[in-house]
Amino acid sequence: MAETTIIRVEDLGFSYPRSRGPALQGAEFTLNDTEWVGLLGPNGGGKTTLLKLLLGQLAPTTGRIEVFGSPPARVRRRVGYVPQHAGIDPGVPATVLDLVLLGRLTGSSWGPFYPRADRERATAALEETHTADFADRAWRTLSGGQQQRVLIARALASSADILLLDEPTTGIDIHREKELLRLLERLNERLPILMVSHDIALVSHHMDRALWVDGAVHELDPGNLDSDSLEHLFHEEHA
Amino acid sequence: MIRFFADAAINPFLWAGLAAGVLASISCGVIGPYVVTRRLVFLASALAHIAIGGVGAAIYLAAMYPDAFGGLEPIHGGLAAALIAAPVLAVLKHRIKERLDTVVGALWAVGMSVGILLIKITPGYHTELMSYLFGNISFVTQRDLVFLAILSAVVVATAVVFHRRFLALCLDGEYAELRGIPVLATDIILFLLIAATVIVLTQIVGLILVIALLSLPAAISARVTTRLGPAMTVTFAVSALVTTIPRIVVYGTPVSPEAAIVLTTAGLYLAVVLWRRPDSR
Repeated sequence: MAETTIIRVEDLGFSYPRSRGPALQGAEFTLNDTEWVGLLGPNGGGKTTLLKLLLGQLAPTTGRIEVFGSPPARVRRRVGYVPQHAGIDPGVPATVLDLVLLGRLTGSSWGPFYPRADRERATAALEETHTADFADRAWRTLSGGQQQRVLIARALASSADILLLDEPTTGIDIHREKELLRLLERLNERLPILMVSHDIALVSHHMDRALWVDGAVHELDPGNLDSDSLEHLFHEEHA
Repeated sequence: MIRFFADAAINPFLWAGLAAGVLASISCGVIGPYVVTRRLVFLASALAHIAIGGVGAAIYLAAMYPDAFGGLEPIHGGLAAALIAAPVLAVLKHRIKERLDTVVGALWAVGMSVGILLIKITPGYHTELMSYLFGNISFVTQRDLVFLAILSAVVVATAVVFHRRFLALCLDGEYAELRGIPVLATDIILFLLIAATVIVLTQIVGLILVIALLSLPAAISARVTTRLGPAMTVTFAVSALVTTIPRIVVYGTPVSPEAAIVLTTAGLYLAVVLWRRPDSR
Protein backbone atom coordinates (compact mmCIF):
# COMPACT_ATOMS: atom_id res chain seq x y z
CA MET A 1 0.00 0.00 0.00
CA ALA A 2 1.31 3.47 -0.91
CA GLU A 3 2.50 5.60 1.98
CA THR A 4 0.93 8.98 2.58
CA THR A 5 2.92 12.02 3.65
CA ILE A 6 1.51 13.33 6.92
CA ILE A 7 4.06 16.05 7.69
CA ARG A 8 5.91 18.05 5.05
CA VAL A 9 8.42 20.68 6.16
CA GLU A 10 10.14 22.82 3.51
CA ASP A 11 12.90 25.39 4.07
CA LEU A 12 11.52 26.07 7.55
CA GLY A 13 13.01 28.90 9.56
CA PHE A 14 11.98 30.35 12.91
CA SER A 15 13.39 33.14 15.09
CA TYR A 16 12.10 34.10 18.53
CA PRO A 17 11.47 37.84 18.96
CA ARG A 18 14.57 39.71 20.19
CA SER A 19 16.76 36.62 19.86
CA ARG A 20 20.28 36.87 18.40
CA GLY A 21 19.84 34.24 15.72
CA PRO A 22 17.29 31.81 14.31
CA ALA A 23 16.22 28.83 16.41
CA LEU A 24 15.69 26.88 13.17
CA GLN A 25 16.91 27.53 9.65
CA GLY A 26 16.37 25.72 6.34
CA ALA A 27 14.75 22.68 7.97
CA GLU A 28 13.35 20.08 5.57
CA PHE A 29 11.83 16.67 6.23
CA THR A 30 8.74 14.56 5.75
CA LEU A 31 6.95 12.00 7.89
CA ASN A 32 4.82 9.22 6.42
CA ASP A 33 1.73 7.60 7.86
CA THR A 34 3.45 4.42 9.03
CA GLU A 35 6.61 5.91 10.46
CA TRP A 36 8.00 6.35 13.94
CA VAL A 37 10.62 9.07 13.73
CA GLY A 38 12.94 10.22 16.50
CA LEU A 39 14.13 13.78 16.99
CA LEU A 40 17.60 13.93 18.53
CA GLY A 41 19.73 16.95 19.20
CA PRO A 42 21.44 19.05 21.85
CA ASN A 43 19.51 21.10 24.43
CA GLY A 44 18.44 24.37 22.83
CA GLY A 45 18.85 22.85 19.36
CA GLY A 46 15.24 23.59 18.41
CA LYS A 47 13.47 20.25 18.99
CA THR A 48 10.70 21.66 21.18
CA THR A 49 10.45 24.72 18.90
CA LEU A 50 9.95 22.35 15.98
CA LEU A 51 7.15 20.56 17.86
CA LYS A 52 5.48 23.90 18.66
CA LEU A 53 5.66 24.84 14.98
CA LEU A 54 4.12 21.50 14.03
CA LEU A 55 1.33 22.14 16.56
CA GLY A 56 0.68 25.61 15.17
CA GLN A 57 1.57 27.24 18.50
CA LEU A 58 4.31 29.15 16.67
CA ALA A 59 4.23 30.46 13.09
CA PRO A 60 7.23 29.93 10.79
CA THR A 61 9.39 32.96 10.03
CA THR A 62 10.28 31.46 6.66
CA GLY A 63 9.36 28.33 4.73
CA ARG A 64 6.34 26.09 4.95
CA ILE A 65 4.83 23.38 7.15
CA GLU A 66 1.98 21.14 6.10
CA VAL A 67 0.30 18.65 8.41
CA PHE A 68 -2.31 16.51 6.66
CA GLY A 69 -1.88 18.92 3.73
CA SER A 70 -2.92 21.99 5.76
CA PRO A 71 -1.26 24.63 7.95
CA PRO A 72 -0.79 23.09 11.44
CA ALA A 73 -3.14 25.46 13.27
CA ARG A 74 -6.05 24.22 11.11
CA VAL A 75 -5.55 20.55 11.93
CA ARG A 76 -4.57 20.84 15.58
CA ARG A 77 -7.42 18.56 16.63
CA ARG A 78 -5.98 15.71 14.56
CA VAL A 79 -2.63 15.95 16.35
CA GLY A 80 -2.18 14.20 19.69
CA TYR A 81 0.48 15.99 21.72
CA VAL A 82 2.24 14.64 24.80
CA PRO A 83 4.37 17.39 26.37
CA GLN A 84 7.63 16.83 28.23
CA HIS A 85 6.36 18.68 31.29
CA ALA A 86 2.58 18.58 31.48
CA GLY A 87 1.40 21.75 33.17
CA ILE A 88 -1.02 19.78 35.31
CA ASP A 89 -1.58 21.23 38.74
CA PRO A 90 -1.42 18.31 41.22
CA GLY A 91 -3.60 20.22 43.67
CA VAL A 92 -6.64 20.34 41.40
CA PRO A 93 -9.48 18.16 42.69
CA ALA A 94 -9.87 16.13 39.51
CA THR A 95 -9.52 12.50 38.53
CA VAL A 96 -7.44 10.90 35.80
CA LEU A 97 -10.64 10.53 33.75
CA ASP A 98 -11.26 14.29 34.03
CA LEU A 99 -7.76 14.84 32.70
CA VAL A 100 -8.17 12.43 29.78
CA LEU A 101 -11.51 14.05 28.93
CA LEU A 102 -9.56 17.23 28.13
CA GLY A 103 -8.69 15.40 24.92
CA ARG A 104 -12.39 15.66 23.97
CA LEU A 105 -12.55 19.39 24.68
CA THR A 106 -13.19 21.62 21.67
CA GLY A 107 -13.93 25.27 21.04
CA SER A 108 -17.62 24.37 20.99
CA SER A 109 -17.68 22.60 24.38
CA TRP A 110 -20.25 24.28 26.61
CA GLY A 111 -22.07 23.20 29.75
CA PRO A 112 -20.97 21.31 32.83
CA PHE A 113 -20.75 17.72 31.54
CA TYR A 114 -19.08 15.83 28.71
CA PRO A 115 -21.48 13.88 26.47
CA ARG A 116 -21.64 10.13 26.95
CA ALA A 117 -19.79 9.49 23.65
CA ASP A 118 -16.87 11.61 24.90
CA ARG A 119 -16.72 9.70 28.16
CA GLU A 120 -16.77 6.39 26.28
CA ARG A 121 -13.95 7.58 24.00
CA ALA A 122 -11.87 8.69 27.01
CA THR A 123 -12.49 5.37 28.77
CA ALA A 124 -11.45 3.49 25.61
CA ALA A 125 -8.23 5.54 25.48
CA LEU A 126 -7.52 4.66 29.12
CA GLU A 127 -8.09 0.98 28.33
CA GLU A 128 -5.83 1.15 25.29
CA THR A 129 -3.00 2.53 27.42
CA HIS A 130 -3.72 0.08 30.29
CA THR A 131 -4.58 2.90 32.66
CA ALA A 132 -8.32 2.26 33.05
CA ASP A 133 -7.73 1.21 36.68
CA PHE A 134 -6.54 4.74 37.46
CA ALA A 135 -9.64 6.47 36.06
CA ASP A 136 -10.95 7.55 39.46
CA ARG A 137 -7.57 8.30 41.01
CA ALA A 138 -6.00 11.71 41.49
CA TRP A 139 -3.24 12.57 39.00
CA ARG A 140 -0.65 13.22 41.71
CA THR A 141 -0.97 9.67 43.06
CA LEU A 142 0.39 8.17 39.81
CA SER A 143 4.03 7.29 39.16
CA GLY A 144 6.00 8.98 36.35
CA GLY A 145 5.43 6.06 33.95
CA GLN A 146 1.72 5.92 34.76
CA GLN A 147 1.43 9.68 34.21
CA GLN A 148 3.07 9.38 30.78
CA ARG A 149 0.64 6.64 29.76
CA VAL A 150 -2.28 8.78 30.95
CA LEU A 151 -0.99 11.71 28.87
CA ILE A 152 -0.84 9.39 25.86
CA ALA A 153 -4.42 8.34 26.67
CA ARG A 154 -5.41 12.02 26.64
CA ALA A 155 -3.80 12.42 23.22
CA LEU A 156 -5.60 9.29 21.95
CA ALA A 157 -8.92 10.46 23.39
CA SER A 158 -8.76 13.39 21.00
CA SER A 159 -9.05 10.87 18.12
CA ALA A 160 -5.57 11.88 17.02
CA ASP A 161 -4.23 10.79 13.64
CA ILE A 162 -0.60 11.39 14.64
CA LEU A 163 1.27 11.51 17.95
CA LEU A 164 3.89 14.13 18.82
CA LEU A 165 5.79 13.22 21.97
CA ASP A 166 8.34 15.37 23.76
CA GLU A 167 10.79 13.16 25.72
CA PRO A 168 8.14 10.82 27.16
CA THR A 169 10.71 8.47 28.74
CA THR A 170 12.51 11.12 30.80
CA GLY A 171 12.48 10.41 34.52
CA ILE A 172 10.90 6.96 34.41
CA ASP A 173 12.58 3.70 35.36
CA ILE A 174 13.76 1.09 32.85
CA HIS A 175 10.82 -1.26 33.48
CA ARG A 176 8.23 1.49 32.91
CA GLU A 177 10.20 2.69 29.90
CA LYS A 178 9.92 -0.77 28.32
CA GLU A 179 6.18 -0.82 28.99
CA LEU A 180 5.82 2.63 27.44
CA LEU A 181 7.82 1.66 24.34
CA ARG A 182 5.72 -1.49 23.87
CA LEU A 183 2.63 0.72 24.01
CA LEU A 184 4.10 3.11 21.43
CA GLU A 185 5.06 0.21 19.16
CA ARG A 186 1.47 -1.00 19.29
CA LEU A 187 0.12 2.49 18.59
CA ASN A 188 2.55 2.90 15.69
CA GLU A 189 0.72 0.07 13.94
CA ARG A 190 -2.07 2.57 13.28
CA LEU A 191 -0.53 6.00 13.97
CA PRO A 192 2.61 7.81 12.81
CA ILE A 193 4.75 9.04 15.72
CA LEU A 194 7.26 11.88 15.95
CA MET A 195 9.13 11.71 19.24
CA VAL A 196 11.81 13.86 20.83
CA SER A 197 14.37 11.84 22.78
CA HIS A 198 17.90 12.11 24.13
CA ASP A 199 18.28 8.34 24.26
CA ILE A 200 20.32 7.20 21.24
CA ALA A 201 19.86 3.49 22.00
CA LEU A 202 16.09 3.90 22.25
CA VAL A 203 15.93 5.73 18.93
CA SER A 204 18.18 3.24 17.10
CA HIS A 205 16.27 0.19 18.42
CA HIS A 206 12.68 1.31 18.05
CA MET A 207 12.36 3.98 15.39
CA ASP A 208 12.30 3.86 11.60
CA ARG A 209 14.26 7.04 11.14
CA ALA A 210 15.99 9.69 13.20
CA LEU A 211 16.42 13.41 12.63
CA TRP A 212 19.18 15.49 14.19
CA VAL A 213 17.84 18.92 15.15
CA ASP A 214 20.45 21.55 15.93
CA GLY A 215 19.31 24.78 14.30
CA ALA A 216 18.94 22.78 11.07
CA VAL A 217 17.48 19.31 10.54
CA HIS A 218 19.64 16.40 9.30
CA GLU A 219 18.57 12.89 8.44
CA LEU A 220 20.34 10.21 10.50
CA ASP A 221 20.69 6.53 9.82
CA PRO A 222 19.18 4.84 12.91
CA GLY A 223 21.18 1.68 12.14
CA ASN A 224 24.45 3.54 12.60
CA LEU A 225 23.66 5.71 15.55
CA ASP A 226 26.19 6.02 18.34
CA SER A 227 27.31 8.80 20.64
CA ASP A 228 30.62 9.28 18.75
CA SER A 229 28.93 9.92 15.40
CA LEU A 230 26.46 12.35 17.03
CA GLU A 231 29.28 14.12 18.84
CA HIS A 232 31.09 14.44 15.53
CA LEU A 233 27.91 15.87 13.97
CA PHE A 234 27.50 18.29 16.87
CA HIS A 235 31.08 19.63 16.48
CA GLU A 236 30.64 19.86 12.72
CA GLU A 237 27.49 21.96 13.21
CA HIS A 238 29.17 24.29 15.67
CA ALA A 239 32.51 24.61 13.87
CA MET B 1 -28.56 30.67 70.93
CA ILE B 2 -32.05 30.52 72.47
CA ARG B 3 -32.08 34.31 72.56
CA PHE B 4 -31.45 34.41 68.80
CA PHE B 5 -34.53 32.34 68.03
CA ALA B 6 -36.63 34.25 70.56
CA ASP B 7 -35.64 37.57 68.97
CA ALA B 8 -35.94 36.18 65.44
CA ALA B 9 -39.68 35.73 66.02
CA ILE B 10 -40.05 39.51 66.17
CA ASN B 11 -37.00 40.72 64.22
CA PRO B 12 -37.04 39.80 60.50
CA PHE B 13 -33.49 41.18 60.07
CA LEU B 14 -32.14 38.11 61.87
CA TRP B 15 -33.71 35.72 59.34
CA ALA B 16 -32.61 37.98 56.50
CA GLY B 17 -29.01 37.75 57.77
CA LEU B 18 -29.18 33.95 57.75
CA ALA B 19 -30.77 33.91 54.30
CA ALA B 20 -28.02 36.22 53.04
CA GLY B 21 -25.41 33.78 54.37
CA VAL B 22 -26.97 30.85 52.54
CA LEU B 23 -27.37 32.85 49.31
CA ALA B 24 -23.76 34.01 49.44
CA SER B 25 -22.70 30.42 50.10
CA ILE B 26 -24.08 29.40 46.70
CA SER B 27 -21.74 31.77 44.83
CA CYS B 28 -18.96 30.94 47.24
CA GLY B 29 -19.47 27.21 46.68
CA VAL B 30 -19.28 27.54 42.91
CA ILE B 31 -16.48 30.10 42.56
CA GLY B 32 -14.34 29.33 45.64
CA PRO B 33 -12.94 26.02 44.28
CA TYR B 34 -11.88 27.73 41.02
CA VAL B 35 -10.14 30.49 43.00
CA VAL B 36 -8.26 28.03 45.20
CA THR B 37 -7.31 25.52 42.50
CA ARG B 38 -6.21 28.22 40.04
CA ARG B 39 -4.24 29.90 42.88
CA LEU B 40 -6.10 33.16 42.37
CA VAL B 41 -6.53 34.04 46.06
CA PHE B 42 -4.17 37.02 45.82
CA LEU B 43 -5.87 38.36 42.69
CA ALA B 44 -9.30 37.88 44.29
CA SER B 45 -8.07 39.81 47.35
CA ALA B 46 -6.95 42.58 45.03
CA LEU B 47 -10.43 42.69 43.48
CA ALA B 48 -12.01 43.04 46.93
CA HIS B 49 -9.74 45.92 47.87
CA ILE B 50 -10.02 47.68 44.51
CA ALA B 51 -13.81 47.53 45.05
CA ILE B 52 -13.33 49.93 47.99
CA GLY B 53 -12.46 52.58 45.38
CA GLY B 54 -15.89 52.01 43.83
CA VAL B 55 -17.60 52.17 47.24
CA GLY B 56 -15.91 55.54 47.83
CA ALA B 57 -16.87 56.77 44.36
CA ALA B 58 -20.52 55.80 44.91
CA ILE B 59 -20.65 57.56 48.30
CA TYR B 60 -19.04 60.67 46.77
CA LEU B 61 -21.29 60.79 43.71
CA ALA B 62 -24.47 60.20 45.74
CA ALA B 63 -23.55 63.01 48.15
CA MET B 64 -22.26 65.53 45.60
CA TYR B 65 -24.73 64.90 42.77
CA PRO B 66 -27.92 63.67 44.46
CA ASP B 67 -30.09 64.48 41.46
CA ALA B 68 -28.16 62.16 39.17
CA PHE B 69 -26.75 59.60 41.63
CA GLY B 70 -29.03 59.86 44.67
CA GLY B 71 -30.14 56.25 44.29
CA LEU B 72 -26.61 54.92 43.98
CA GLU B 73 -25.73 52.50 46.81
CA PRO B 74 -22.10 52.05 47.86
CA ILE B 75 -22.34 48.34 46.95
CA HIS B 76 -23.23 49.29 43.36
CA GLY B 77 -20.02 51.32 43.15
CA GLY B 78 -18.07 48.40 44.61
CA LEU B 79 -19.58 46.04 42.06
CA ALA B 80 -18.78 48.41 39.17
CA ALA B 81 -15.16 48.86 40.32
CA ALA B 82 -14.68 45.11 40.78
CA LEU B 83 -16.20 44.34 37.35
CA ILE B 84 -13.94 46.93 35.69
CA ALA B 85 -10.85 45.65 37.52
CA ALA B 86 -11.59 41.96 36.76
CA PRO B 87 -10.65 41.96 33.04
CA VAL B 88 -7.67 44.22 33.77
CA LEU B 89 -6.31 41.72 36.29
CA ALA B 90 -7.01 38.80 33.93
CA VAL B 91 -5.05 40.49 31.14
CA LEU B 92 -2.20 41.35 33.52
CA LYS B 93 -2.06 37.72 34.68
CA HIS B 94 -1.59 36.57 31.08
CA ARG B 95 0.67 39.32 29.83
CA ILE B 96 3.02 40.00 32.75
CA LYS B 97 5.38 37.09 33.29
CA GLU B 98 7.43 38.66 36.06
CA ARG B 99 6.55 40.73 39.11
CA LEU B 100 2.80 40.27 38.66
CA ASP B 101 2.40 40.46 42.44
CA THR B 102 4.04 43.92 42.52
CA VAL B 103 1.74 45.31 39.82
CA VAL B 104 -1.37 43.77 41.40
CA GLY B 105 -0.29 45.01 44.83
CA ALA B 106 0.02 48.54 43.42
CA LEU B 107 -3.49 48.37 41.88
CA TRP B 108 -4.83 47.03 45.19
CA ALA B 109 -3.34 49.98 47.11
CA VAL B 110 -4.43 52.54 44.50
CA GLY B 111 -8.03 51.22 44.57
CA MET B 112 -8.18 51.49 48.36
CA SER B 113 -6.53 54.91 48.37
CA VAL B 114 -9.01 56.29 45.82
CA GLY B 115 -11.87 55.01 47.99
CA ILE B 116 -10.47 56.55 51.16
CA LEU B 117 -9.73 59.84 49.36
CA LEU B 118 -13.24 60.14 47.91
CA ILE B 119 -14.88 59.36 51.24
CA LYS B 120 -12.64 61.91 52.98
CA ILE B 121 -13.67 64.73 50.61
CA THR B 122 -17.36 63.78 50.72
CA PRO B 123 -19.23 66.08 53.11
CA GLY B 124 -20.75 64.46 56.21
CA TYR B 125 -19.93 61.37 58.27
CA HIS B 126 -20.27 58.03 56.50
CA THR B 127 -20.90 55.17 58.85
CA GLU B 128 -21.94 52.89 55.98
CA LEU B 129 -18.31 52.61 54.91
CA MET B 130 -17.54 50.58 58.02
CA SER B 131 -20.28 48.09 57.18
CA TYR B 132 -18.79 47.59 53.71
CA LEU B 133 -15.32 47.16 55.10
CA PHE B 134 -16.19 44.86 58.01
CA GLY B 135 -19.65 43.57 57.09
CA ASN B 136 -23.01 44.03 58.74
CA ILE B 137 -24.91 40.79 58.61
CA SER B 138 -27.29 42.00 61.31
CA PHE B 139 -28.90 44.59 59.05
CA VAL B 140 -29.46 42.84 55.74
CA THR B 141 -32.63 44.21 54.12
CA GLN B 142 -35.08 42.58 51.73
CA ARG B 143 -33.59 44.73 48.96
CA ASP B 144 -30.12 43.40 49.80
CA LEU B 145 -31.48 39.85 49.61
CA VAL B 146 -32.92 40.46 46.14
CA PHE B 147 -29.60 41.94 45.01
CA LEU B 148 -27.75 38.90 46.45
CA ALA B 149 -30.16 36.46 44.83
CA ILE B 150 -29.82 38.05 41.38
CA LEU B 151 -26.03 38.21 41.59
CA SER B 152 -25.81 34.60 42.83
CA ALA B 153 -28.10 33.40 40.03
CA VAL B 154 -25.94 35.12 37.40
CA VAL B 155 -22.76 33.64 38.89
CA VAL B 156 -24.14 30.09 39.06
CA ALA B 157 -25.73 30.18 35.58
CA THR B 158 -22.52 31.47 33.97
CA ALA B 159 -20.37 28.96 35.83
CA VAL B 160 -22.62 26.10 34.67
CA VAL B 161 -22.21 27.17 31.03
CA PHE B 162 -18.43 27.60 31.34
CA HIS B 163 -17.63 24.78 33.80
CA ARG B 164 -15.80 22.47 31.38
CA ARG B 165 -13.65 25.34 30.17
CA PHE B 166 -12.90 26.54 33.71
CA LEU B 167 -11.97 22.99 34.74
CA ALA B 168 -9.69 22.69 31.70
CA LEU B 169 -7.89 25.88 32.73
CA CYS B 170 -7.58 24.58 36.30
CA LEU B 171 -6.06 21.33 35.04
CA ASP B 172 -3.83 22.33 32.14
CA GLY B 173 -4.24 25.75 30.53
CA GLU B 174 -1.66 25.14 27.82
CA TYR B 175 -3.40 21.98 26.65
CA ALA B 176 -6.79 23.73 26.79
CA GLU B 177 -5.41 26.36 24.43
CA LEU B 178 -4.23 23.62 22.08
CA ARG B 179 -7.75 22.23 22.08
CA GLY B 180 -9.10 25.56 20.84
CA ILE B 181 -10.21 27.18 24.10
CA PRO B 182 -9.64 30.97 24.14
CA VAL B 183 -7.78 31.01 27.44
CA LEU B 184 -7.66 34.77 28.06
CA ALA B 185 -11.34 35.29 27.22
CA THR B 186 -12.28 32.36 29.49
CA ASP B 187 -10.17 33.81 32.29
CA ILE B 188 -11.85 37.20 31.89
CA ILE B 189 -15.25 35.52 32.39
CA LEU B 190 -13.93 33.72 35.47
CA PHE B 191 -12.51 36.94 36.91
CA LEU B 192 -15.85 38.71 36.36
CA LEU B 193 -17.56 35.92 38.30
CA ILE B 194 -14.98 36.23 41.07
CA ALA B 195 -15.66 39.99 41.18
CA ALA B 196 -19.42 39.37 41.49
CA THR B 197 -18.84 36.77 44.22
CA VAL B 198 -16.58 39.13 46.14
CA ILE B 199 -19.41 41.68 46.18
CA VAL B 200 -21.95 39.03 47.24
CA LEU B 201 -19.72 37.97 50.14
CA THR B 202 -19.13 41.60 51.11
CA GLN B 203 -22.70 41.68 52.42
CA ILE B 204 -21.75 38.95 54.89
CA VAL B 205 -18.27 39.71 56.20
CA GLY B 206 -17.18 42.95 54.49
CA LEU B 207 -14.51 43.61 51.89
CA ILE B 208 -11.62 43.25 54.32
CA LEU B 209 -12.60 39.72 55.41
CA VAL B 210 -14.17 38.54 52.17
CA ILE B 211 -11.15 36.57 51.06
CA ALA B 212 -11.48 34.26 54.06
CA LEU B 213 -14.89 33.08 52.87
CA LEU B 214 -13.79 32.89 49.25
CA SER B 215 -10.75 30.72 49.96
CA LEU B 216 -11.06 28.77 53.23
CA PRO B 217 -14.25 26.75 52.59
CA ALA B 218 -12.85 25.82 49.15
CA ALA B 219 -9.49 24.94 50.70
CA ILE B 220 -11.34 22.69 53.19
CA SER B 221 -13.23 20.96 50.38
CA ALA B 222 -10.00 20.44 48.40
CA ARG B 223 -8.75 18.37 51.36
CA VAL B 224 -11.71 16.02 51.41
CA THR B 225 -12.75 15.65 47.76
CA THR B 226 -11.11 14.46 44.55
CA ARG B 227 -13.39 16.10 41.98
CA LEU B 228 -14.41 19.68 41.38
CA GLY B 229 -18.18 18.99 41.41
CA PRO B 230 -18.21 17.46 44.90
CA ALA B 231 -15.70 20.15 45.97
CA MET B 232 -18.31 22.78 45.07
CA THR B 233 -21.00 20.99 47.08
CA VAL B 234 -18.74 20.70 50.13
CA THR B 235 -17.66 24.35 49.76
CA PHE B 236 -21.30 25.42 49.68
CA ALA B 237 -22.12 23.28 52.74
CA VAL B 238 -19.15 24.62 54.73
CA SER B 239 -19.95 28.22 53.73
CA ALA B 240 -23.61 27.83 54.66
CA LEU B 241 -22.60 26.29 57.99
CA VAL B 242 -20.09 28.96 58.95
CA THR B 243 -22.32 31.86 57.90
CA THR B 244 -25.22 30.62 60.04
CA ILE B 245 -24.08 28.68 63.14
CA PRO B 246 -21.47 31.17 64.50
CA ARG B 247 -23.92 33.99 63.80
CA ILE B 248 -26.53 32.27 65.99
CA VAL B 249 -24.06 31.23 68.69
CA VAL B 250 -22.54 34.69 69.28
CA TYR B 251 -25.86 36.51 69.07
CA GLY B 252 -26.36 38.71 72.13
CA THR B 253 -22.67 38.56 73.06
CA PRO B 254 -20.05 41.29 72.43
CA VAL B 255 -18.42 39.09 69.75
CA SER B 256 -18.83 40.48 66.23
CA PRO B 257 -20.69 37.93 64.04
CA GLU B 258 -18.44 38.72 61.05
CA ALA B 259 -15.29 37.97 63.09
CA ALA B 260 -16.97 34.83 64.48
CA ILE B 261 -17.71 33.63 60.92
CA VAL B 262 -14.13 34.13 59.74
CA LEU B 263 -12.53 32.68 62.89
CA THR B 264 -14.79 29.61 62.77
CA THR B 265 -13.90 29.07 59.11
CA ALA B 266 -10.19 29.41 59.86
CA GLY B 267 -10.55 27.00 62.81
CA LEU B 268 -12.34 24.45 60.62
CA TYR B 269 -9.60 24.74 57.99
CA LEU B 270 -6.90 24.19 60.60
CA ALA B 271 -8.76 21.14 61.93
CA VAL B 272 -9.09 19.64 58.43
CA VAL B 273 -5.41 20.32 57.65
CA LEU B 274 -4.41 18.48 60.83
CA TRP B 275 -6.89 15.67 60.20
CA ARG B 276 -6.30 15.08 56.52
CA ARG B 277 -3.09 15.51 54.61
CA PRO B 278 -3.42 16.15 50.84
CA ASP B 279 -2.09 12.75 49.79
CA SER B 280 -4.08 10.66 52.22
CA ARG B 281 -6.85 10.12 49.64
